[in-house]
Amino acid sequence: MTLYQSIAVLGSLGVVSGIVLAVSFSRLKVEDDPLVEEILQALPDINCGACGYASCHAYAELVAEGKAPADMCAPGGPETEEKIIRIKGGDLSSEKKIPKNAVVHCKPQKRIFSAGYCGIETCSAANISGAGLLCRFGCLGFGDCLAACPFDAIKINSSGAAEVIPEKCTACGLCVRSCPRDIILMVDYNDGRASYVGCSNTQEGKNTRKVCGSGCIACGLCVKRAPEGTFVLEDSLARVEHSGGEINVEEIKCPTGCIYESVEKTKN
Amino acid sequence: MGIGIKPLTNKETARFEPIQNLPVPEEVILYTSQHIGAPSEVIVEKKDTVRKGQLIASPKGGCSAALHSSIAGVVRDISKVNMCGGRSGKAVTIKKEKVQEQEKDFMKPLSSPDADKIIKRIADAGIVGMGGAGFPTHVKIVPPKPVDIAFLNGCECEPFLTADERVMTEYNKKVVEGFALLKKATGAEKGIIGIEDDKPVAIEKITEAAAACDDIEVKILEKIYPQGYEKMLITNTTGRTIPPGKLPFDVGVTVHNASTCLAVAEAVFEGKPLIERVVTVSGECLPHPVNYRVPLGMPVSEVLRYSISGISKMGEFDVYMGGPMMGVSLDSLDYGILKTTSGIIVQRPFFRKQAPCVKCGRCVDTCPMGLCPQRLNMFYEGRDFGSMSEAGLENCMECGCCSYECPSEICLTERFKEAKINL
Repeated sequence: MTLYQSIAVLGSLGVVSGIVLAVSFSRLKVEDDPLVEEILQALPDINCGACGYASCHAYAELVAEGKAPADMCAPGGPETEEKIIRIKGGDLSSEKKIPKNAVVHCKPQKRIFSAGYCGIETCSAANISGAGLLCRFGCLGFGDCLAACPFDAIKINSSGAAEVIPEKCTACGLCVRSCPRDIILMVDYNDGRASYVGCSNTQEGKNTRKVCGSGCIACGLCVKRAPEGTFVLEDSLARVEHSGGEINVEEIKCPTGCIYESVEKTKN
Repeated sequence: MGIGIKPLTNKETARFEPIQNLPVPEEVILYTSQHIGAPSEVIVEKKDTVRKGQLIASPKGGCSAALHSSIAGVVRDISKVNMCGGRSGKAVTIKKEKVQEQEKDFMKPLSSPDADKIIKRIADAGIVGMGGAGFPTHVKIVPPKPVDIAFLNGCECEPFLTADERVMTEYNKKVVEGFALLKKATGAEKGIIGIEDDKPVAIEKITEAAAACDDIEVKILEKIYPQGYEKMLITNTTGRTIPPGKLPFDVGVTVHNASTCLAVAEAVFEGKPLIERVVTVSGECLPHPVNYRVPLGMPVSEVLRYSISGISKMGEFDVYMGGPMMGVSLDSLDYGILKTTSGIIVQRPFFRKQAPCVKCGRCVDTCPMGLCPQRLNMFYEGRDFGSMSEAGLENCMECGCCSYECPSEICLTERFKEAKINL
């Protein structure tokens, strides 16, 4: 008897709530913009936040409404932009976008320490005391960027400093924000190649020499030997102004060897 | 009854050690940024000969301080060098000259100065808060709101440090005079001198000196760490509470350190700029702790040479600049003494085992700001800095009480320091 009672009660409850749901679905239905769904399909859907919006869905909604431009998605790059514009039915701009990648501007042969460190093992904590690393601008190597990267595009190399793998990097910019020493910067990749100075030390040459064997000593040779306008010397540190094919790293013969070329193999 | 911890003070011998002068060092490193605010601007050039007490860097902007040479010598270098605490900044390196001329007249002594003259003189002398924060004093005594109580902080609650205590004992008159000048410049009606009850000699000497002034009162406070933190001090003595994110002047109080008062008295009545300070050299590893009068910028290794031999090797010792609770751990001994360095502490290396939290709640009982470090730590472990901020992380003054009390030896304070940066 009890068995039948419970089946009857639960069954009727199910039928009643089913009817309520069906009615409310038809009455309170919200029309979803099919455009949003389509744009979301074109986006990488990793919610990295590089566009400045909360999620890929939030960005897709705004793009569908025309409130956000189509070129904000850094990980997707030009291809995603093209797809979005196709979906929205707009014109493709003829201007070619230069792809970017993040690059750690510290590539030491060997990092020199003056004391040990036994504190919290994150860069932001280690940066408070310097962690015994003599160079105040060098990579601490605890991997805050590694943890921030959603694409596994950062590795710690043999010298203990972080390094970006260009093939995997999508230029979302999360590592740039995570670095407490601000030594990860975005670099233009012309034809899959980029030259950069692997040092961020703004101390004078002799003081840089004291803390690192392969730091920029601001000798200015790169400014002289490379084509004009490619290198600039600012605050005792050389910086690449225009990256691309015209810089020949071999020809510059940097005395400390801190000018590098990063080559991006074809993505896939 | 204050909230905090009562660590072993270890001041028993150092507090009876008279202040000693040190020989002039071979070289001094004077950083342009040893105060809160913009770094000062160097006005000398390489190879210039400088006198003792000569202005070598002038303040840049409103919140900045002047910098003077602490020895007579030749400017060897002006460049960006490593500073303690993982920073890098511009510094002037001065090499000693063989003949050290006697300081004759730095600036003209003022006999009966008015408030404006005092403020100008303090700015010219480059005086900053010498307790640790390094807030420029000439900015502090011109608060945007009227102030009715001036406070002399003679607590020195950090273990091992006795510099302020010796200053108050030996220069009791000058300290009170300097404090009276600061009080006059600020326009405060009342002056309070707060001293912890474990310094009977200093209390006696200061009371004796303060007897001449009617409006200065000496208050004896309970010995507890961190009694010397200005928010604690003000609440415990006047009953006024400083809301989070506000400064003492918001409740009508300014707080000055004892060494700062001495520097002010010397600047006004003797015309001497801030070129030296009293530093306690102490710690577990030093059998004979001492108090030295050290020229600013003297390398730490040089100072320690007079106390212990063979300390140049790092790794065998942990050396702290400042007190053991809030000081900076040094990674090299080549850094110069700052205007804010009250001590050099040499300890045995110490490793924290960092076991998981056992939720004992000792950190909650001990936090002087009434925070819940255990809860903050829970958020930290999930890297949820937003919730930490909601739980009052900004109020944390990094005193280290929670880390001290933690039976699991979790580095709570370090974690909160990191979280504050990531907010």
